[in-house]
Amino acid sequence: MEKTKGSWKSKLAQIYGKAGVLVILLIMCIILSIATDTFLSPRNLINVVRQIAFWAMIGLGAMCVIITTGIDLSPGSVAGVAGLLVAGAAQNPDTPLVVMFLIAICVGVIFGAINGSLVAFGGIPPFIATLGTQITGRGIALLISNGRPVNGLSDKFVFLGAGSLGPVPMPIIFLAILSLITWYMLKYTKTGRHIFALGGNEQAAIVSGVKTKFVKLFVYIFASVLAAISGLVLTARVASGQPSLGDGYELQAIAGAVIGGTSLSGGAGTVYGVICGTLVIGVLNNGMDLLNVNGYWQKVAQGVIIIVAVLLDVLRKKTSK
Amino acid sequence: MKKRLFALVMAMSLLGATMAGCGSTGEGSGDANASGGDSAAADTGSYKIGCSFDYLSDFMANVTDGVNGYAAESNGKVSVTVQDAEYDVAKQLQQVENFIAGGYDAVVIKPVDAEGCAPMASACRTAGIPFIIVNTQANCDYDTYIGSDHVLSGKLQAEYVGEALGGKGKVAILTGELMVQAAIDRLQGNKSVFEEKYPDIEVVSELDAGWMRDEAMTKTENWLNSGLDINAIIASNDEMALGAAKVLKENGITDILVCGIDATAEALNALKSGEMAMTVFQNGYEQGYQGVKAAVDIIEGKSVEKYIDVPYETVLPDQADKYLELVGG
Amino acid sequence: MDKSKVLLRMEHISKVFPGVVALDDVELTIHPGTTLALMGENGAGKSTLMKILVGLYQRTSGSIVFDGKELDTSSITKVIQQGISMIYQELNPISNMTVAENIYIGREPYRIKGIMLDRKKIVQDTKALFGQLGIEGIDPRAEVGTLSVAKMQMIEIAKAVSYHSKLIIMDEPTSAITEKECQQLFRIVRQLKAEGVAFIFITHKMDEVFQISDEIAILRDGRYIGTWDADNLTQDELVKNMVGREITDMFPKEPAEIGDVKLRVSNLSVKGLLHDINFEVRRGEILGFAGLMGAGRTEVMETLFGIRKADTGEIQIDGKTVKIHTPEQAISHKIAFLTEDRRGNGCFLNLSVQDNIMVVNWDMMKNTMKQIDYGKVKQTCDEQIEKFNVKTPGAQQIIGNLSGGNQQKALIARWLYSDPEIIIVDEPTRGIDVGSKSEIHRMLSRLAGQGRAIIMISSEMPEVLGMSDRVVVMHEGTITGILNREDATQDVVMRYAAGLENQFR
Repeated sequence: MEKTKGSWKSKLAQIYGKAGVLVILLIMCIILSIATDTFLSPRNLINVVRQIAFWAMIGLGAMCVIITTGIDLSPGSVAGVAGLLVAGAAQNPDTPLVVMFLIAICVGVIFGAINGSLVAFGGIPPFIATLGTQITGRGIALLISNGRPVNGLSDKFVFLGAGSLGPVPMPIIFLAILSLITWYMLKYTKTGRHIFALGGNEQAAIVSGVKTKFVKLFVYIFASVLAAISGLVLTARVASGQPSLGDGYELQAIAGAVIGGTSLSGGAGTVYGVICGTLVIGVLNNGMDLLNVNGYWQKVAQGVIIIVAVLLDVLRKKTSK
Repeated sequence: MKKRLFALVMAMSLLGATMAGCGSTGEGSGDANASGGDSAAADTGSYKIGCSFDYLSDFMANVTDGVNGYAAESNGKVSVTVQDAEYDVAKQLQQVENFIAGGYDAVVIKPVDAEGCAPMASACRTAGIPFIIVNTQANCDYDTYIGSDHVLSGKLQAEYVGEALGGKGKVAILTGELMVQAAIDRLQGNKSVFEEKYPDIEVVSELDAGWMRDEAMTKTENWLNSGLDINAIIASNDEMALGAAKVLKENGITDILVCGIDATAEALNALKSGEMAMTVFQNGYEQGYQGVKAAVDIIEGKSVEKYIDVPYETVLPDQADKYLELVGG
Repeated sequence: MDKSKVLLRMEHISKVFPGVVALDDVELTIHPGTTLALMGENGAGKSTLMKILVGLYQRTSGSIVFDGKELDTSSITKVIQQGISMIYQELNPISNMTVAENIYIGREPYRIKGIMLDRKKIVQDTKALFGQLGIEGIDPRAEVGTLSVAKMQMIEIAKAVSYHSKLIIMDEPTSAITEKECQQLFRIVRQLKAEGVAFIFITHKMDEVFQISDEIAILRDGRYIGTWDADNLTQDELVKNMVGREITDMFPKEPAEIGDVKLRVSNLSVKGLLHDINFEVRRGEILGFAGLMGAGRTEVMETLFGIRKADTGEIQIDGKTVKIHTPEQAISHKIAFLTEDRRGNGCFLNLSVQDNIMVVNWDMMKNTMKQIDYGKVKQTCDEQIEKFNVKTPGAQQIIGNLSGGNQQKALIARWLYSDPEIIIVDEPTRGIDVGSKSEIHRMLSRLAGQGRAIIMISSEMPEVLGMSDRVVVMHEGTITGILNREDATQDVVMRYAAGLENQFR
């Protein structure tokens, strides 16, 4: 009797363990599809995914950093700087798209290299190092733009954010591509596996010949490049280079990653979790807008959902032990 | 030991970079300092004026231009420093304190929070230097307030919408962060007009889009998806209005009026192309210019009004070109 | 020993975890003033039983009577107040607080109630407590983080005594302390026994079991096997009852052909740690490293492996000088290092068995596209798990859920897959059950037989003496002696380890 009960419970725990946030997400979707008649419309669903795409792109990088037990607070600013510089280039209709991507990637590499070096070689705690680059980055964005938006962007560039391939908006396509790259990197490359090793036990990783400093440098660069690309696509989406672009996105991204089961103590995180986790935030925001919920309550609900999701995760880990 | 030294150096350089990012020192057009020098000799009439603005947005860039414009005209008599408080009252207080400690002759702020200025005012009072606020009214002991009545800007929007819709219709409002006084005032201005003059206009939704274009796009998309019937969208600044207009254009919707505030170059162009219906011009340049001017007048012992009004002006599409010249777009 | 009185009686204890029965109808009795050794292989249920007793786990069924009353196990604090203390294998003192603060934490006396702590009183009380127990050389005002493991243990015992505990449970108390410290510990245990305190020891060290305990209780696979008087049980019988089979040869070093010098270390020094280390190891040889804790044995290996930086010294492999500055370089020279601290720098506890085995081997798992080939990974892991007899539900199991012995076997699988020629093992069998232990010994012996050079650090004298072809003895950062198998007896090794003799002076 007891045994069957135990195994039933453990099965439930297993299902939740595998599905995790998906359960929360589905519950939210079911509630919203009952409460509103518009939530389930294809148009709205595509909208939600497009809206979270920018957070999720940053969230992918945030996850990689968090797996190594680090944290990155700078991606919002990196997105801002990259977006502005790309917008500057996009004012000229003859600038090829490749150049714009190169600009964004360069911005990402530079910021990532600074973050990574400060953490890996400077021994500065990631929270402080990336807080520094966050503030510096925002300052740089304001300096180069003089606080004003950059307008008059070329149509082909704007297409990257506002256009769509068939029914699928471009930001979702970018998210899909970056998700695939991240998933592949984590699973099929040695560096990817070493990211988990570093987060699982840094001392053991050193003994096992993992180049821990290189791996740290790599994850911060990877995260910044994703942030920069997110900034590029977001700039194209709003069709204007904005000095305040991406402000606060890092927190949404980190929240999404953590709701999606990325462990702040390191060693655990999945691409699938990040997408679902960010969707939880996106669906929540969207649902509350559809229901016309007042802005103050929206903030309260966002905070609560983060706590609940992480709490569930902690409980799950406890029961599985 | 080495490690620690490295960390220290990095921290210092970061700090340096941060300060460079936040403050832009404008001495006018460059030759200002050459003639007047930066000696603090008060008798020759050389003044250092510190400005702390709530956030260096597109609009505040106009105010900053006005501030720098006065400094440039003064031929080195006045030098100004502008800092960004990033919507943080505590940070603004710090910046004011640093100005005082740095021997500045006057402080000009755009308050982050109407209720949070008292400590800054009393600090300036104690130091014996003028304390001037621009753009946003605050509840404290200031020397003078140069501004435009935010409630009025909201009223102008609502008047326009009420008339354009013939006194009947549904309106959705995109507000700024409701922790900022301007957002509260503008919303109040919108509503007071509807309540008093146009009882048949219904505010069907008001959402906080944090002054940001991308968030405004999200909110507008969600409105459209929720099947809400809307005749006009009132946004508390042009950034949000442009975001709303962009989503409407993408969806091929042309019968919703979009109103903004600020009259930025991009918004004025949107008026011309018909994507926006109206905006409200707030003369940021004049606010900044008058702010520094008032500071200098007080320092020099001239009497200054407690409130200097720089009025808001409704801008309709046919006036867009005129204002484009003004804002330098 | 007074068997008429019963201090603790646990009956019909069962514990069911989701899907697993960890304890099945177990009983345990202990008399006042006696020591009971709780024995069993890892995973036999010893820790679970003790955690139930101290209130960390709630039992599924069964009863516990302590000191004539039903024991309230609803919380750890309540159990402590009723007179039972447990000293854990991984001590968790608050390392930035003082000795006295650690002992009195949670019940600090106040000079002014709720406002001002009486720091003087806790220091005085601690001194009195140490005096009573004959503990010397620990300053109550010292920060605990600065003390050795053995001293932290003394502090934990003192803390238990200060709670007037009638029963003290010690989990592997001697696994991290030296022989001398061990004897000091036993002296205190005997003293407290005389005052009527009872002890339960969980340990894997056979010689200690017979040295300290009055009775021996044995668990196997979650079941109670029985309790014997220590005097009436031989070591062989004990082992037989623990594993359910007889282990005839505990240390089966098989003769292997000793070949050329594989590795030579010359003049290796690390300032303040190691001084002029010289030794060589040949193919087919097991070179034992003996010495007391802190003699620098682990540090030699860490330097050799590139984890620590050497100030001087030369390393030759196959007669050629090599440079090793990082573990990666060491691995590329086909050196493997199975570290001492399994949890600290061996296992990735929250990662899968697969990730743990593969962490040094990913390069070999790449296909022609430079992509990790998961077909190969799965096949390799399954083979390694099979080959090294790692008991796990599968390669995807999180390694933290396995027993210590199986974690160790997975780590061996990690290092041996890359086919290393020099294998360094640091305390390979610490905290491991008897069955796994002899498996690991057989494995080392077989590896030597294949012509590999093996360096084994061990603090268990019978293991060093039984397994090694030659024994290097270290004392305070220097090598004091290198002994041949036939010359190495327990006495001789101890004399070198204590620095009483030195071949090189």
